[in-house]
Amino acid sequence: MQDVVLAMLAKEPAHGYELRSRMRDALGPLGDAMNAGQIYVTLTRLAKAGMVTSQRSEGLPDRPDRRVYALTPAGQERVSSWLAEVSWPKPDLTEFHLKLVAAATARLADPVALVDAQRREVLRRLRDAQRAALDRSVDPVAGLLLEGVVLRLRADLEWLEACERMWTGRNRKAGA
Amino acid sequence: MTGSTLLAARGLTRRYGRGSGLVRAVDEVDLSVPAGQTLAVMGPSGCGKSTLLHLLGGLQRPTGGKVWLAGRRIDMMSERALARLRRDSVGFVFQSFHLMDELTAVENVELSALLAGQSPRRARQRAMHLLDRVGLVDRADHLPSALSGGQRQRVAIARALSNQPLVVLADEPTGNLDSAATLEVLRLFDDLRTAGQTLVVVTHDTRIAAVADRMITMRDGVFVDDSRLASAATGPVHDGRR
Amino acid sequence: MAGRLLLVCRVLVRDLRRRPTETVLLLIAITAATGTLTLGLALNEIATQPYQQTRTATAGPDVVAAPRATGPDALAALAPLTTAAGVTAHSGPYPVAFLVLTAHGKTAHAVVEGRDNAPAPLDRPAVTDGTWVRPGGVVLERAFADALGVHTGDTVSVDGRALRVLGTAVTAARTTYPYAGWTSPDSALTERGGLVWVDRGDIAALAGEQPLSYTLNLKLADPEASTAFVDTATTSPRRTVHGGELTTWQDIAEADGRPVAQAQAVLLVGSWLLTVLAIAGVTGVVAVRVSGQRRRVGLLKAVGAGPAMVAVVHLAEYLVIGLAAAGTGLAAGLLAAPTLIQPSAGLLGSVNTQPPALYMVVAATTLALTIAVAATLAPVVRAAATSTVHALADAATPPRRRRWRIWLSRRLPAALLIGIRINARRPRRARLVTMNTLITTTVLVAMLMNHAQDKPFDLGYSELVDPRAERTDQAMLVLTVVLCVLALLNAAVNTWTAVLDARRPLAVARTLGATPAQAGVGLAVAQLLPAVPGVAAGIPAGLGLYTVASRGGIQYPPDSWLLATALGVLLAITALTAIPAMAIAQRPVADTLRSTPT
Repeated sequence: MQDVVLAMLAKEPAHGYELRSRMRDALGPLGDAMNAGQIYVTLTRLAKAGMVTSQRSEGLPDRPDRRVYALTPAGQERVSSWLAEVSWPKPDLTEFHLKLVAAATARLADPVALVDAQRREVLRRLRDAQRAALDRSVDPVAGLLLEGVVLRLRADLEWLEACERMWTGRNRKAGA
Repeated sequence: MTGSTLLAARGLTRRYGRGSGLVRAVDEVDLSVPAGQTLAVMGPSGCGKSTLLHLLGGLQRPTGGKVWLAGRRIDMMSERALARLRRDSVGFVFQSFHLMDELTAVENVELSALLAGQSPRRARQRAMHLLDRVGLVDRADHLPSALSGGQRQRVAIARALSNQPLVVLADEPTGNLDSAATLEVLRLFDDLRTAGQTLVVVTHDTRIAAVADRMITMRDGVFVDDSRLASAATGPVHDGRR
Repeated sequence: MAGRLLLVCRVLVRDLRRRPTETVLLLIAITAATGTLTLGLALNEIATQPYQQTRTATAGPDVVAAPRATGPDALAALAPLTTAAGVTAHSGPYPVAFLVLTAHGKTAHAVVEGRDNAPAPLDRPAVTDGTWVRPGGVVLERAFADALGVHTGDTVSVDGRALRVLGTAVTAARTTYPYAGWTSPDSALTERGGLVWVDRGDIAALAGEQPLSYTLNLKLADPEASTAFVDTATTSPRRTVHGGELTTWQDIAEADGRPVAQAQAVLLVGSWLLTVLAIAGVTGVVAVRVSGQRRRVGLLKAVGAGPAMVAVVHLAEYLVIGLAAAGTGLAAGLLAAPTLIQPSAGLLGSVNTQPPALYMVVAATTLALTIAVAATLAPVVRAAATSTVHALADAATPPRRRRWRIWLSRRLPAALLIGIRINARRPRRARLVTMNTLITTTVLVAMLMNHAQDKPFDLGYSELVDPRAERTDQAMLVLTVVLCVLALLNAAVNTWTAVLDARRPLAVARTLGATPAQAGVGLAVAQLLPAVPGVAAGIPAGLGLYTVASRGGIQYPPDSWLLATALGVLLAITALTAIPAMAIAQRPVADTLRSTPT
């Protein structure tokens, strides 16, 4: 979040509300869930860390916030290194996998039932994301994000199906 | 949005082969689809989904069990009656579109209206209206070879709607499409759902969940899961990035 | 209903346009059969029309009387006829002598008729060259003159007396050369010969010792009643003439048509052979076409077309092609008839076969539709009856597996192995190849047989051109050419589909290490193997056909000719296959594997 806000200030100094609406546009339907105060919390933290400076401006009278934020050289540097960074958030499958193994060995729960519940949940998320993408008013760039979300969830579903096959087979063997 | 049962099956079974080669493509399936509902039948390929669809649409006869469409038994119907049924009450959408390559988009759409004995003029009007509905009215005179995959599938959907069918049966409608074209087709299905069209889609594409009122999963010829999803409009939108 | 009709027409038109090559092939195959049939039937017209025209132009008689008696007895026998009931006019009696004519060293029977210089009320021979008879000169019947190679101004000798040829003429009162009715005075036998006219005053000197015969031309009030008139005249108690001495104009017309009768038989038998060949060809094309349309069958059924509608949509196309082919066949046959088969030179006028007689139209149309339906019904009905699901899946009939052939082929060289396996895949196509070569060889051998016949054509003292054999040869030639074209076309289509179908197995064979040459030769072998039994059976079939069709002593062509024919047919097939096979074999394997769906 911090990196994103810094990168958005790289072009020119901006008001907090401008940053917020730009972000909402880029996120499309997913932006609706974003907390309004979040941007200001982030800006305050960045200012403390010396990445941004702010100046009071001759803002509009109906706007409570009249601060314009700008990058400091340190902020500039961090933006450059962020852009060059190639780390990729990895989906955390390990925990769920271990949950299944643990449930099976300790006979805490039926792993197949766990998989099934998880599958429904992922399917529900997939449905919601895809529904959001169906809306014809979605901006194509924001739609791209939705597509990414859908693709991820489809991959998750496929993995869950593989889990289900495996654990169903195990159950059958154990039962026999 | 949903009403009385439109399409129902009891003990529906279809077997191929015999002895050790026996395959139960569909094994004693019970199913009922209320009017106006969009039902998605999910499952891996080879699980018998397509056979189920063929049985429901009268393209194939079951080896056991019964099928009703709008209260009429269709598993016992004569071939002639089945042809009339497909013409008047069922619309099919296929994975590979199955458009006639030598006919233009609008000619493909009016095909079943002409088969049903409508006048050429009425059939053409209806076909143009349907093409408009799927957003392809400006492509009416193109041959299928001049259309993209998504456009072809939309033409095929328009054709399926030609005779105002009671139910539209779609077999992997997005199977041959890229993600942008899939989106077009899903939007169209969503419009159909909103308009109260009964729709049965068999697919292994989980994105169909977005437009389905109900999803069931088929495995080895039987339903192993019947997950009723809440109406899609409710529930929070989740950010899948976490 | 209008909607369905529109649908059928639309699909039909688009389909024909989308596959022009196949449409043209079908058209040619059916046209060849209908054209030959029309040609055969048109020969009827060729036989009768010129006679009619000649009869009109020369004031032909309705009945000709020629008693066997000679001299005054003959005149006495003829006299009552001129006043018999139903007779409205007569000319003659004219003196006739049966002599021998020599021209350019060739000698032939000549029926010499004495005529006046002035035109007669009946039978005014139409002079086609030179002038009519004068004392000291002779006019030859045109067909006779043609056969002898005699022209106006030449000198011929009749029983040793030199006479100048004044001209040539045609008549309807006597059958043209070689059936002029030369009757040896001292035998009852009528032999072949030609007709010449001399001045009435010259005939006695020419005849010399021989008593003169007489001929009388009669016109009847009702020309159609000629047979009844003859019956009355020869059976009444006071008859002066006997059976066989009166000839009606219909008899003459029939005899004039005799030279083309055999040619007609050849063409009609030929048109049946061509029909079989056309069915074989059309079947080949249709099989490919219908299998390509299986998906469409499924689609039509899915949108609610019943089996009948599906069958109509597919059959309509072939019926239209059949009708078109009937039209082109009729036109081709009728246009070709007068030029290919000349009417006898002994008759006047041109053959006008337009508009065609109704029976020809019906016959050609029936034949064309029969071919179209015979070749298409089975695959179309099969397609219409396929389960919708199968048709949609577009699963072509999987190649059949013949265990013994595969077993056998494992023990053979690579090319032969490939060939046998390709054939084992598609036995029906192999059968078409056999059929094609069988019929082609049959006709070629029959043609050879015809050539091998060296029958002396007796014209008394020398052998001249036999007009009948000449026309049979022409007919044979036409038949052979049409048949060879069709057979080549069939072979080409068959080969091409075989090559297309075998592309993938060949490509797979090549990925397993078969060389392009082995693949190409393998394909040629695949076509050649079923051709061998066809050729082998075709030789006795051709010999048998000719033996059955012709009467009398048969001479067989030398074995070397038959062998050459057989080898020629096989060679042609090899060449036809080798070219596309090599072309395919040269293509990179990857292209083939990519471009053909499994």
